[in-house]
Amino acid sequence: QLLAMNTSSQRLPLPAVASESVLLKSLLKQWEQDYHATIFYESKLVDNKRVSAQPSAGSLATKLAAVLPQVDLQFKELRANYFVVTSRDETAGQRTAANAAPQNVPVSGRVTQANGEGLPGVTVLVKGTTIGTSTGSDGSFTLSVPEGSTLVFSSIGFKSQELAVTGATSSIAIKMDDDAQSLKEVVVVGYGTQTRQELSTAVTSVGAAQIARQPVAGFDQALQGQAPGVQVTAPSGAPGAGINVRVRGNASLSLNGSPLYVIDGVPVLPDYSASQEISVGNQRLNPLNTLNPNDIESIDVLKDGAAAAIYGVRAANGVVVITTKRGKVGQAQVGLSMYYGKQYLRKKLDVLNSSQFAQQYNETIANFNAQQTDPNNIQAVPFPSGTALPPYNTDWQDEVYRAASLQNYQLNVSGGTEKTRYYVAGGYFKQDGISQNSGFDRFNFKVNLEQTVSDKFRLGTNLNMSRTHTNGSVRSELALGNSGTVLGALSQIPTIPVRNANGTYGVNPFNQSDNPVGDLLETSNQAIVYQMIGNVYGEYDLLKNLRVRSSLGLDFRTQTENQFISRNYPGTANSDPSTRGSARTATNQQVIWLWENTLTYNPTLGERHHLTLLGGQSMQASNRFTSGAQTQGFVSNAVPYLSSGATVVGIPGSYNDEWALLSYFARANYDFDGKYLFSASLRADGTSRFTDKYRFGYFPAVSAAWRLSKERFFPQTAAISDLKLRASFGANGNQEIYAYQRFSRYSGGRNYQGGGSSIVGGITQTDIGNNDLRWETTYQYNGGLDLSMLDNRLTFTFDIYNKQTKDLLLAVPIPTSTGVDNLSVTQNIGKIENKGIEIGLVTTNVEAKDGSFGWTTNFNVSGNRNKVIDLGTQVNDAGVSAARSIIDPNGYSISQPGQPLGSFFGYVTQGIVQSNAEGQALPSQNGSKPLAGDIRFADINGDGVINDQDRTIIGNPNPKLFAGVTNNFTYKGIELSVFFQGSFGNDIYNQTRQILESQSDPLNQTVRVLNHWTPTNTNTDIPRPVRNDPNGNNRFSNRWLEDGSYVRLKNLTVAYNFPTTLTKHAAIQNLRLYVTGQNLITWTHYLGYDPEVSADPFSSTSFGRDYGVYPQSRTYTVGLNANF
Amino acid sequence: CNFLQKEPLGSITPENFFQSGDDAEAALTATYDALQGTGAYGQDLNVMGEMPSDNCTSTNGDVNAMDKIIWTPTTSQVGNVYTQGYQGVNRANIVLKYVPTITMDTARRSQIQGEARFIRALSYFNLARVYGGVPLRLTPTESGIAADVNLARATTDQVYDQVVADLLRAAIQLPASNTNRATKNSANALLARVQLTRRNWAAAQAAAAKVIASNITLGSFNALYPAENKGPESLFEIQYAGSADGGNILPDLVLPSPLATYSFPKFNIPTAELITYADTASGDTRWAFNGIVNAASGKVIGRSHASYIDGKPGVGGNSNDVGRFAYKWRSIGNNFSSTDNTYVLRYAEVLLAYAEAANEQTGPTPDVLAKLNLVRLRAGLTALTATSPQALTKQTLRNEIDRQRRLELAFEGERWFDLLRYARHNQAEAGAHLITALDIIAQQRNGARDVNYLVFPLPQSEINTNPLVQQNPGY
Repeated sequence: QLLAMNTSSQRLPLPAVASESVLLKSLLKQWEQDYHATIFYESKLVDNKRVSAQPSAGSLATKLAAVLPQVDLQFKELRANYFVVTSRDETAGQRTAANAAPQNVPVSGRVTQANGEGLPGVTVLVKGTTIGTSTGSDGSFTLSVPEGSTLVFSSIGFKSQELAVTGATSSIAIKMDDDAQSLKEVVVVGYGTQTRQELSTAVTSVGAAQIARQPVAGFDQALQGQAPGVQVTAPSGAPGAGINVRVRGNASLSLNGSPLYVIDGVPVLPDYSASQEISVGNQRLNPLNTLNPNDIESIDVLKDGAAAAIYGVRAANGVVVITTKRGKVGQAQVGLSMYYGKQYLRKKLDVLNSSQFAQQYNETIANFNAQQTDPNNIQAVPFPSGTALPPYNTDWQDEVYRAASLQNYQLNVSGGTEKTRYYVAGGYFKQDGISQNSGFDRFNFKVNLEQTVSDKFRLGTNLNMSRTHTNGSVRSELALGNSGTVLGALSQIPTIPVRNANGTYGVNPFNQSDNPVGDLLETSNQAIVYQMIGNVYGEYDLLKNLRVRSSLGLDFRTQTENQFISRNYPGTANSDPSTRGSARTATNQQVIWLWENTLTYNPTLGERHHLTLLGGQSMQASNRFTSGAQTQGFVSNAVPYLSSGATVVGIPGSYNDEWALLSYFARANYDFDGKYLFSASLRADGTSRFTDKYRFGYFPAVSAAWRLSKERFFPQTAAISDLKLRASFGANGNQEIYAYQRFSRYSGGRNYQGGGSSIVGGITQTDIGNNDLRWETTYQYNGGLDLSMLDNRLTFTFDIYNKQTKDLLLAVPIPTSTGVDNLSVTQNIGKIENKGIEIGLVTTNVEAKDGSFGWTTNFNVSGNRNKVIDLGTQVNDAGVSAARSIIDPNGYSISQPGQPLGSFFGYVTQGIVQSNAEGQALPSQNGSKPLAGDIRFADINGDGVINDQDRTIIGNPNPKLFAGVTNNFTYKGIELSVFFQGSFGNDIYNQTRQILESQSDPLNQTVRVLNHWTPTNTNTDIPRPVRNDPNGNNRFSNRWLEDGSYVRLKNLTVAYNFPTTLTKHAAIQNLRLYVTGQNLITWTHYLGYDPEVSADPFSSTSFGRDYGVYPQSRTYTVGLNANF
Repeated sequence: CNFLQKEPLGSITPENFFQSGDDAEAALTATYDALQGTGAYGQDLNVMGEMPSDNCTSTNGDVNAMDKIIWTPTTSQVGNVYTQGYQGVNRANIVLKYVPTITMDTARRSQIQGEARFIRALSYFNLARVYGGVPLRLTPTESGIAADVNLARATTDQVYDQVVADLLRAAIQLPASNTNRATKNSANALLARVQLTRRNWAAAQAAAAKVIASNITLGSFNALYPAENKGPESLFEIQYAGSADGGNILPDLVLPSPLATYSFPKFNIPTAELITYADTASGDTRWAFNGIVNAASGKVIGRSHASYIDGKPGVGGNSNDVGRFAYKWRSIGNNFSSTDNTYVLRYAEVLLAYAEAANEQTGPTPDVLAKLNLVRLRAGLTALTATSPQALTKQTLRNEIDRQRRLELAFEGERWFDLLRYARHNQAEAGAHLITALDIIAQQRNGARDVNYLVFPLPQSEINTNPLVQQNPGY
């Protein structure tokens, strides 16, 4: 390690060169590598000195002791693996000048990074001596130094600083500035690391501070707005719910679109669709919640095809590499972090009060009656006329939602010796939901150990264990009539009480729809997941430059769910009392083991050639067992378990499935003088999902980069300190069909009553297989530019990409007349394209110097354009074979060549019919002519009838751009962080509003309907109210599409770092207090609860719909971080 | 590499199935199961057979297209009946392909084939009378390639010929009695219905006569419901075991709440016209006395009759549950999984079929009147004699037989198919029947006697996947 100081140009005459001597500088550099040690020296001391006779064995200290005296140098070991080399003369000289020696004085202080956080491991040296120390985990240090000396602060990746000491002081505050900050940052790229300046691929890194700042359950949620090209949406506000992460768009139509997560080397592919066996009201678990965000050191997102290709057949959606915290050599550090917060419903929707509702519903019935010709169809007016108000005015939103607490506690101990390093942490996180009877909590435990057994052999383990508990009793994404509690709170009518005088739940008298409060309180759905992700590994240095590593990994989870619906559940109020009360249990256990072996070779090819070769092999296999059963007829609510039910519902079920992967991979990274960078890799993945014919998929990648700024012709000014151009190509795969999809299968369960009263098992063909299946292949081309300017105060990253996905694994329908249970056969058909640009910008607007004001900005923006290219052919409605388009079963979105996935597909409105006469001249809708006050729909095909054929593409749920910007301000110990995030240009299908403005059913409505059409209120876009909606005014049309663009003040954090001088008295090295507001302000025109919403969040073909989705909360937290 | 060989653990592959008699039984059971589903007798076949007719109405949006005769290729019942009908066909085809290769008891093996033939015939008969000529597939579908899955439509007659051939063979292979399952009488009763539909009067009479020869006696009409394999009158019914095997969804859809679990606009609400039509007959125990749902107890008061009940009389509030409701299903509060069986074929219909077929050939005879009177007497009506006004001519007796079919079989899923039959009969012999499907179509469709609605459209899914089929005219 060369200290960048005192680099005087004064040259000494060359000493006589011994024939066998070597350059000391080279030798020290070599040893730094061999021993993974850091050796500090001033360049003028070592200069061109040469040494001979080096011992071939022994510790680094032995070797240094053998060679340094040859050139009048000495060394000191500051701590394990940190050495400083000094001149022998100087210390001797000081000693001889003892009479003039200054007195030693105590100094202490703290070294921080630009963001104000303590910087551990900084070497603090008295200039020209071996007196020194290194900073602790919070950046603080204490040292006794000669008066009038100069302290030198240095650390890898930071610019060294000097400070003159005039006397005893305890308030030294040093802020270290990044030295070409991001360039030397270590990026974990899968089976290895590279520094950012060596990268020729598109990788975005997100650090621990950005992740830990947000009070959320999982790191995936905290990634939002932090990385260009990574689109994160929290589709629901339900605690512990799955988060939707898409890297560079949807690359598959029907397969899992989640990136592959590699957690400390263990690949984990979360499958939200299958993560829960009992999905009461669409509450989805998130397997990634097993990790405490506080335990994460860094997240590296491998975005382009070349970076991801080393993960082959699972890399088409990008790879997110997660590295957890490691112990550092030094005294044990104890860290405590905790926060407590309150969450509130972000906003209430304005719905009618009971007198408004009574009037509106009377009108709805009156308009219906006016249309009836059969007197039998005339309905009584539900609310008798007169001035008497309905007896109740229930605000269901107030009844269902509450202020909910949020808390997190984490304690970690880390440290290490030369031989052993450890990081041990335990945490507890608990988030109550803002809806009654919902919440999530997690206990987690983390152990990372590294043990140096000998010079050549190292052992280690990374383990993460957790228990998560999700109370998923909320029924979201369901209508009131299906016991939906979110829509229930909005659409249940205000004229009924929560509870009747006799204690039973109030029920809507017009349609018997049940009671959202009762639905919540009389339902219990508890999911408990124990999860362990981790590995044990050994590394052995076969040769100086050749390392073999073997790792045994495990991804294990066991999940138990118990659901109980009590006897008092309003939905079964009309049922036979003997059948009331039901319980369901489901369990799911999955063991995925992994064995990986890699060989890494770093040959020495001279100073300017750097080559790293990697070869490896991996085996992974999964076994999953699932079971479930249900009983009903509970005599009492006392015991909510299966055995208390009187009868079994259905047949208790269980199943088992397995898959396996066998892979080989190789990679070469080469650079010439850090100027021309090349990388090539190949992975061969063998998978159990396909037949021998297509068993192995080969996924090659190449990339190259050119650092123009290293060229001689490039002006070497501070204006542009680094400029790199990148280009890459990579092939990735997606194989995530059902494990047995290729097989023709017969299944049981087709049962029938036999000769007596007993049920007899039936078996028949259910699926037609396809032995010609293979993976989906994505070819991705990427071009990029990395630029650092103004002495690295501005770094800019730009990427442009084109992803072509072919051989889509699609369920191709076969004729119904085949009579097969599953009327589709999976085939490799179709193409999808994603292309886009990404911009990242990090600037230091005001440099903080010695605690003065500082301001940094981190900005990113991305735009992705998704397009379906081909989906094969089908016979269209006119009987002609044409390009296939797929209307989602939900009926509101379509995937069609030339259009983005999931385009909204529906009717087009043309205002409101103003008179019956006008309506008579229009095409018939629903078999009759529209009346005054009805919506007029466009007759797209001009056939004089409004029907299915008049639907067209009316919107796009994909954003044009999404962006995030974080501003950090520091002043002395105070930090302010402001994070905005937003999405632009996407449409949302507000199906909640379709209920709340339907004006056709006995359901509560938003206050917007008060402006509905009447003969005297004609200038409006809201049609007349009429029971049963005879004109189909409420069909899916652009009436329900809204602009989903928003900008959100996602996170605002104010923190105060107490001066070390204060905290020291309490034996605290470092104390930070902060308050945070999450989801504080949202600017949007969207009328629903929240524009960040999706009722089908993990679908690639039908997203961007709001339908009774659990609303997001606004959260305020206070927290502290302390180190002891 | 063995490491990558993962066979399906939860499923059976074709290679290791059909090894034993047990496998044959399991495959046959699955074939019966195809009749249970909501696309078959569990819901949609019944809705299709009643909702368009003069028997039923409803304000429920799910059956609106059926009620108002505005169905399209994407109407759910149109798709479901087709889908489930072909499931029955394919499962029967699987049995008929593989069971003959199994070494097992030969008598049982033959009977299994007979049962599969019966179900295939029943499935194709329903498909043909709903859609007209459909693709005639007699072997199982075992690959997804176009040449194997795309099949053109056969003519209606070709489908009926296959149905008749299957039933004739089944009548030989099936046993005389077979608890809960198809028998010789099942095959012959269905054959009588098929031949009646084709207006092959002699063949219909002959098939009916074979059933009548087994000397079945009629019991109390009310005791027929719910259908639970009660007595010899039941010739074939769909078994429902309740929640343990999915159960029958239909009772919860047609009964008021309570008896049904939930309140919503019900399917198959009896029309005022039907009630009036029935009330004109004096002493008809099928219709004379209405059971009443006691709103407090949730039980039906009085069960000496059958066809409909009055829901919650005198109780205001929820119009969904007030009024008259079909009462041939008597399950209560069962969360859409009733144990009520559904009749497919029962003896009274065979008697009426015999009477109709014989009357068409010979006009009123003592033989015709004898068969008809068995049904009338059991309903509490008087026996007709040669001098009764209904028995004066072939035409008056035809009207009487039509009337008895309607009153006897109301809500059992046959009315619309009878009306379709009558419409075709009237096309051949003007004025033969007083009311036909065309009259209902004209009522519902602004006076247009649109013959295209005499068959339903093929579902859009078939049109979009099978380039060899053509849609029915007018859709």
